[in-house]
Amino acid sequence: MNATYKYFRDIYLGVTTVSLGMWITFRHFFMPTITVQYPREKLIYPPRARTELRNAIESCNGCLQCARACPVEIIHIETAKAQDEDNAGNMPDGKPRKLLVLTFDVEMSKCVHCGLCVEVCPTESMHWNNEHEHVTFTREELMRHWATYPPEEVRRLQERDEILKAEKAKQAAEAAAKKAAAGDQPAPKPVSKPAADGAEKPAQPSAAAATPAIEKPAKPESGDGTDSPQKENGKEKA
Amino acid sequence: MIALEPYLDLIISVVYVVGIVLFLSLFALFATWLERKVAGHIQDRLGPMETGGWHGWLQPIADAIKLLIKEDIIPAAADKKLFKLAPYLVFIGSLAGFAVLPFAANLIGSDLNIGVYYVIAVTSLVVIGILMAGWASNNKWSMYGAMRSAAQMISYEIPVALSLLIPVMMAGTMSMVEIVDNQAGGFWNWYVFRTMPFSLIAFVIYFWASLAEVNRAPFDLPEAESELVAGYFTEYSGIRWAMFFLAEYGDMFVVSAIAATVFLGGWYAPFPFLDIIPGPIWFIGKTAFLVFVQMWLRWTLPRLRVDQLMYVCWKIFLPFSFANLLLVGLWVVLKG
Amino acid sequence: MSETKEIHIPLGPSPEKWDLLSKGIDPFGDQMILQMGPQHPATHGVLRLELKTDGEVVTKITPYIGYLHRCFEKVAESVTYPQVIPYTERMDYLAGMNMALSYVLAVEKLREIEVNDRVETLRVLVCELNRIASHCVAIGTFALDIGAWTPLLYLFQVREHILDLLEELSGARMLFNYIRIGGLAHDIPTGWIDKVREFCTYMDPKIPELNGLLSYNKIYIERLAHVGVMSQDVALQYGITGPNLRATGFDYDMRRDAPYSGYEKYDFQPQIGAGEQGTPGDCWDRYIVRVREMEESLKIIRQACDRMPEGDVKETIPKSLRKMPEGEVYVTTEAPRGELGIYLVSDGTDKPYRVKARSGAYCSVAAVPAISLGGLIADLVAIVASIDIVLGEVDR
Ligand code: SF4
Ligand code: SF4
Repeated sequence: MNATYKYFRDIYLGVTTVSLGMWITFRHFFMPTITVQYPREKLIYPPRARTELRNAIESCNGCLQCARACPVEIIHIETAKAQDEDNAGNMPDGKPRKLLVLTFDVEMSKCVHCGLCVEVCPTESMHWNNEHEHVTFTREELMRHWATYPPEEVRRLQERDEILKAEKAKQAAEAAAKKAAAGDQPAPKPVSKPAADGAEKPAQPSAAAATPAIEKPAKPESGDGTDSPQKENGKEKA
Repeated sequence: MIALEPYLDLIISVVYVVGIVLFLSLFALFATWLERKVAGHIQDRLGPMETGGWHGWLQPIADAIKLLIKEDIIPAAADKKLFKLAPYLVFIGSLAGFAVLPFAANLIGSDLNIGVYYVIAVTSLVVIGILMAGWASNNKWSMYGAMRSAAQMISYEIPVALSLLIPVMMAGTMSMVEIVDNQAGGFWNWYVFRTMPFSLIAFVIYFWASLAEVNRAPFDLPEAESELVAGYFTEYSGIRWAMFFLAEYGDMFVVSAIAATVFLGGWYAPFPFLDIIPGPIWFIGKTAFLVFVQMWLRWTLPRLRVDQLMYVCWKIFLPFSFANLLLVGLWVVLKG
Repeated sequence: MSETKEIHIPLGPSPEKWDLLSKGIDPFGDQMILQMGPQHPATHGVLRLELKTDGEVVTKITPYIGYLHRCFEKVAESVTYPQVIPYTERMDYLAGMNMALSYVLAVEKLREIEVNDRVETLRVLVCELNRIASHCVAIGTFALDIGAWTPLLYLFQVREHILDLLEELSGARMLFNYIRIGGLAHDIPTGWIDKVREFCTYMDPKIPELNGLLSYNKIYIERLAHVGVMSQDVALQYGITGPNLRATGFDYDMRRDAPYSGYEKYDFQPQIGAGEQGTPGDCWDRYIVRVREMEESLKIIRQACDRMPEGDVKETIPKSLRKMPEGEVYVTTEAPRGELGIYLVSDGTDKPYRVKARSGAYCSVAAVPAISLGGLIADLVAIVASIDIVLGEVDR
């Protein structure tokens, strides 16, 4: 009895639930569709949408905050100190430009669109451009170069920066040595050591400010340029 | 000038066969388009819209060309001869069914006096092709698909045959044309509505069992995508795969056409005064409607499991078919 | 039969089996080894299951994971605390908010940051929205694996609404980076709460429709009832959490039993499986628990919308995370795929010393062999779909 009941009940349930399902899909058959025919119709992005990363290079002050914030470390920036001869002009906020942004490269193929770089940027030069069609055929095209300096110019400015830096370091070292020499007369020999240390110390922060975060080994000569004058400097002093 | 007289029959047959192959191909192309449209609209999408302008009606042609110019891949470990042969066998199996479909009173390949019987016989030819494909691919998933397919098709032959016997019994003939002729004069004369409710039940059983025969959802176990990757045609690509596809849609047409013939009055209009519209249109229209229902079901229902498939066949369809057969037999005898 | 036959065996057979093979004996008998995945339509990504089958009956299952391993834990040691958040969301990419919340709560616990009420409420709101979106995918792909295609598309429409809402809020659709240490990235845009309310109204009739189309469909029930029964013992032994545990009838929900982020203020009922159509803990229970959980989440969302307090969402974001207190914390939250525990060790620098994630999906995969032996391949597909894994979370 029970089995028979179950048998017929199963059939009954099968028929009714299948019919119900068919009724539901039938209703959907006549509902308006939700398809957006993409290339012809486009959705409007909300203002916060993280679409394609862009940098308005003229307003970038080279502070490197974005490079530090990026979790995948794909923003490569090189800067040089602006000199009077450059006519670097003003920042959009009216203050004179202090750093020239020589290279500003972003490997867009690795970008995870987390938006951290945009948030930290103090000048709002990093921004989303509200477009999303950045398809390319090669990975090289996804390497975005936003700085406008030609490579020779970049090298020239970097070298100039090195020389200036070296000079500065030298001056600082001399000043320190002078100070040390003036401060302590009776023991010239032991004092020369701290003097050398002191010579390197002021050089360090400036070097860190000018060429940090250059993971890209693209310019080995610049690295050499940084090291050798300092070393020579230190040796001479020692 | 050769005398055409002795060859006239041959020429007519060749023309008819070519016509049927063309019709089948065109129908299959149209059906793939329809299937996508049905699926799309059921799922609140649009389906193909681009190729050819109006609702993407040229999409199947584009697909066909794509399939034709695809690389022909045969797995290294496959049994090459069987692998190549299988799709054509399946295709022939589905094509052979067209021979006895009565598009109109005098538009039929061959009005065999065992028409219904013939259809049941040739449609099961497909099983051989499918088994062959599954075995020759030398792929475990294909093998599973083929085994499932064989088990399923052979089991479901029985309820299909039993429910087709009911109109045969009522008409007293197996000839397709005569069966249709017996249903002339309005829809109340169609076999599906005579001897209510037995023939209606027979029709429903036939329809569902035929779904299993052509491997359509909810009985699409042999090609169950989420279980067996693609079942017996996992390893096929290009034009050979297209053959399977063509055969599937051809089969859908054949089983629906048979349902239309024996249950739904073939080429006759539902009302006598509508008979001015030519018969083939009614016939193809009814068939197309059943094909649509098959698609509708496919996009609604989940798939059964192997054992449940067998349960449905042997424990539900079969007893009901038998009971049906007995009762209709009784009815026929009593009515004289 | 004395010569060595060339038999194709996908695994390198052990020496004993080679011996048998060289004697012409098939070491597998009537059984066949079948590789299911990593490229298989039903393995939800890149899970590989090595099956031993006898006909269609599965007699042995070995899951292999690691095809989506992205070194989350190691990477987290080399980036600063805020930079870890984008990585956490890539674990379970279907529920990024819930993933980030767990990590953020751990860091806040370490730093002893108390966030204000608005932040908590918004966090609950977005997490529950994301839970619905995640369950939509879970249920939709489940139906797809059983062979019903259409529910997936209907559920994706619901998910689309949620993603639109979250995109408007955070700027991204899946990997939000919205929940931040000590607060949130943005406050809500104007009119957003109304849109969420609209979504709730839109969502209301969807679940009955789903029930009619799928949940109570006889074929669907037949496919799932009594299949892959996970008893409470098994569940507890394998450390199963989340909807899979509740489906066994074990009433345990982190949101109620160990509330975080102010969940104690909401009125909702954790759903447990009762074996309505079969045995408690079968696939159908795991399915229906998720469906009902969507309704509960909807309730929470409504309450959160109603009580949305005023406040500044960035009020407690620390100025600098350079200096962290030393120590270790462990925080678990109820993610859509089970408990997500984050164990965080800090050595006082700006980078975590160690981050360990304990994910629910990982435990669920481990339990697959225990609950699916002796079933058919089709059942195995249903079981893998029912435990709802995201391989990103399993492999991390
Ligand atoms: S959005 Fe891209 S470039 Fe900016 S921080 Fe994130 S990953 Fe780096
Ligand atoms: S944070 Fe902004 S201003 Fe600073 S370097 Fe990057 S883009 Fe330029």
